[in-house]
Amino acid sequence: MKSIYGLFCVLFFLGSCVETDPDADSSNAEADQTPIQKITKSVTVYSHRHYDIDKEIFSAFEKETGIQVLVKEDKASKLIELISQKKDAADVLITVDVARLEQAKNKNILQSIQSDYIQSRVPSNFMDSDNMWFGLTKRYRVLAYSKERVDPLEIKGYTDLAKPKWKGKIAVRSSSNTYNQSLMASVIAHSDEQKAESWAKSVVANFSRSPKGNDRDQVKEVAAGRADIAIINTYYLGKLLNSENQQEVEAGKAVGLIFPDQEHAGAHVNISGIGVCKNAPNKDNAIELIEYLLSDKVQELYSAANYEYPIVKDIPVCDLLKSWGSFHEDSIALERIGQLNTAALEVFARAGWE
Amino acid sequence: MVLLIIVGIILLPLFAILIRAFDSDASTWKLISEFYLSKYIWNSIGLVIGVSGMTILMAVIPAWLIANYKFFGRKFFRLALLLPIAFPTYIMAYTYTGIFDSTGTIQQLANTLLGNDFANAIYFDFMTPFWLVLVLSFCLYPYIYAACLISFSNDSAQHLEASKMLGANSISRFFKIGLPMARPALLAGLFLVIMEVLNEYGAVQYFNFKTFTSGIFTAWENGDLTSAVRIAAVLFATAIFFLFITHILIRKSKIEKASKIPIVHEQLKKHHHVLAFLFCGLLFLFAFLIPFIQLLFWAVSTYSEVVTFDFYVVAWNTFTISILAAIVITLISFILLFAGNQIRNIGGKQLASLGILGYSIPGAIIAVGIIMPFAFIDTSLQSNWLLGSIFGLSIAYLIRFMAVSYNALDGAVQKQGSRLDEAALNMKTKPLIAMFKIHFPILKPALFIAVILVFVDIMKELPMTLILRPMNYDTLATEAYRYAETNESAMQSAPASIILILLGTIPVIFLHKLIKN
Repeated sequence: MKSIYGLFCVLFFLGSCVETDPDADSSNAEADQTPIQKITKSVTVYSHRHYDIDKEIFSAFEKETGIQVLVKEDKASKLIELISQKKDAADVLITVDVARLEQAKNKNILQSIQSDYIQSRVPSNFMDSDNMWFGLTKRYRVLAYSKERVDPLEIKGYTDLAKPKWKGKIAVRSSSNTYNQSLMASVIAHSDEQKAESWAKSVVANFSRSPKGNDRDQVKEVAAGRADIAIINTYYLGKLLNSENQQEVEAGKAVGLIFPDQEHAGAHVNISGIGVCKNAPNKDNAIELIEYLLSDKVQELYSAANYEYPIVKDIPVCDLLKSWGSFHEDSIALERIGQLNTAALEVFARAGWE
Repeated sequence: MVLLIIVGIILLPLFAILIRAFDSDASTWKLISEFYLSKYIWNSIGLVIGVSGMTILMAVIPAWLIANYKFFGRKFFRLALLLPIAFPTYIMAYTYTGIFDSTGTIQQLANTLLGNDFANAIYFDFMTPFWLVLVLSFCLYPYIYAACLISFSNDSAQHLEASKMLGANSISRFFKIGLPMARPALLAGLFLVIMEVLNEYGAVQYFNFKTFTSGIFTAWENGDLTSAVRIAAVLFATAIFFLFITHILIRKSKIEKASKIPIVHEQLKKHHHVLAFLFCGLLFLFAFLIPFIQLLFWAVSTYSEVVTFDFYVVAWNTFTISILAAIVITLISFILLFAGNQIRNIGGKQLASLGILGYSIPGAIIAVGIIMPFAFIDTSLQSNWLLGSIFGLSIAYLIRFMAVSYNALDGAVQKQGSRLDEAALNMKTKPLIAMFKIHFPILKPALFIAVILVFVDIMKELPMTLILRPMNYDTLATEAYRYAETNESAMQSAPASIILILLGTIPVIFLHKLIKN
């Protein structure tokens, strides 16, 4: 008991230190951001991208420009709330989906950026018409089919998923997932809400199980023979094929990819994108960072390390992406997809897509 | 005065949230109330009932066996069965899915050892509500187990010995004495479990089991924070309902504390002996050993790409901040408790217990409530003291986890009774001196237990840490989450998870020592 008391005293002493510690910490942080800022340049990044490669890219940027990158990673919705309460908290916001960029724009926390370089690098359908956000990488939501049981010629587009022939054969995750919402938004954009709803109802009737798990889990369902087609983002297949778990690699090899709607609108594409915050204290540094992220070198890295597609045209992609071939992509302005997010939620709810 | 300040700090974000709920920009509220709200309510209640039942079974049986009987491995299990408390629920869920899914360990083993047909035959869908209940129960039963173990071995010892002499058999001893006397402890533990279940987010989202928390996050991610806050208000009401019930039940079961005598551990009959060993052994196996070993295997295979120097800094950060914050929070709840007791006659006690309301609200929603006033203060003072500082984060932890330490201390104080206070009063000791000279030393073990429980909770905390942390600051929980999130797999998050769990088990071992004394 004595020893515990002793330990407690030590801890208590440490405890009394904590009262002063945080102040020291926060005043340092404060020093970083106010007076010293004039000497050392910095840029504050709020990011929904949690990838290791992003960390590497930021530290390379620091080395090249001398601009210190301060990062906070969390879900876009939470970061948006933080920025709308404390306007000067961040310089840039990075999201993994266009709907969240549109959300940030609607909450009035982004500003319009004029940069000839950025505008020349990002195709116009992948940026906001008011120049408030710009795509960094492209992500296709496609169909992964069982090589064993499905003839890829049998299914050509998203509409085919509604055919009764696929009853009990389709694996997909929850409708609360943002990639599904943007896919639904694109279905609505190319038809209308009623048609989208009846499409969604038929797809729900074809589910192999009620939606759960993530994109990788859907591929595994197909590989294990419990479904024939999974709706997934392409890079997750890249991750499965490069997994440390041999079984996952096998699961990845068991499926092929169909880039849908080649004869119509083209494969649904989403973006991971970036915008400069309205009250960004370091606007110039923020623009410099965006330009850096759009450079050939970084664009190539996104593909090589994370199996995403570069947003900039004619950037060489990694071998895996090359092996998936070239295809026709949906050219709809992504802004429209973001705007239709709420409509997509309604369709999901009415169609009973869990 | 102190009381008002502390309670005020804790309630401030709650008010900020409530105000938010009345905003008119709830773009998806109609959709939620029409299609999802009843599902959120029923699923949440179902989950609470399922996990409550399961955790009571998992906790009470071994606690009773260990407190009363001699059997092989008893001493080991007494400690070992506490360990799963260090497992964050979402890591447990991801790990178990990784074991049972179609590319998981079980299927791999079955495939290589017994062939494809056998593997297919034994496959089952793991991501079902039943397994969700089980996975959550594995992580949460230790809260009840610890409370019951203390109660069985201390409070009821004398009565149990007496009844034994009077010839009561073991089953009637359990139902007539052990269980009723342990009821306050059991309910206090159960209250913590229920709050954890209502606030669980990672596992329910992964299983796509639509509860309040998954609804809150979905609404928020869809850009409709107002609806998220409204769902949180419904959740809050549900939590208060459970708080109310447990409090009434606890009050009803106040018992006279007997003096402490050691229990004579009875030797079990042979087949009972085997059963006791099997129950404890299997529980330990499934709730800790299997997922831990699985994580260890993953950690070994991903170690080289994930673990860098930064990683050790992260581990150190997590440990120090968690322990320091836990100590401060425990001291504050100690002060709160005594301030409340001092002015008991004018409702001080009730006022103080308002402080524990924060526990019934998901961390992310508390973060919302904190961001607003903090941003206001920071902006008007032109400073960065609160938002994105360790200090601000610690206040968030205080609001969220006060209940954990407050409950632990309150239980101990109530056992002590008011005699000491009266004695001190008679001797004209000042209340403040009485607090530090009399109660503080007597409550040492309870204080220590409180620190440990809060520490483990802070280590595992995710949603508040993510949004309120300083720039470029990671903890083990955020790192584990980052890898699990980006790769949609538990594999690369294993090294962070393993260290998180190991660091969490250290204080649990201390906790065990305390229970033993």
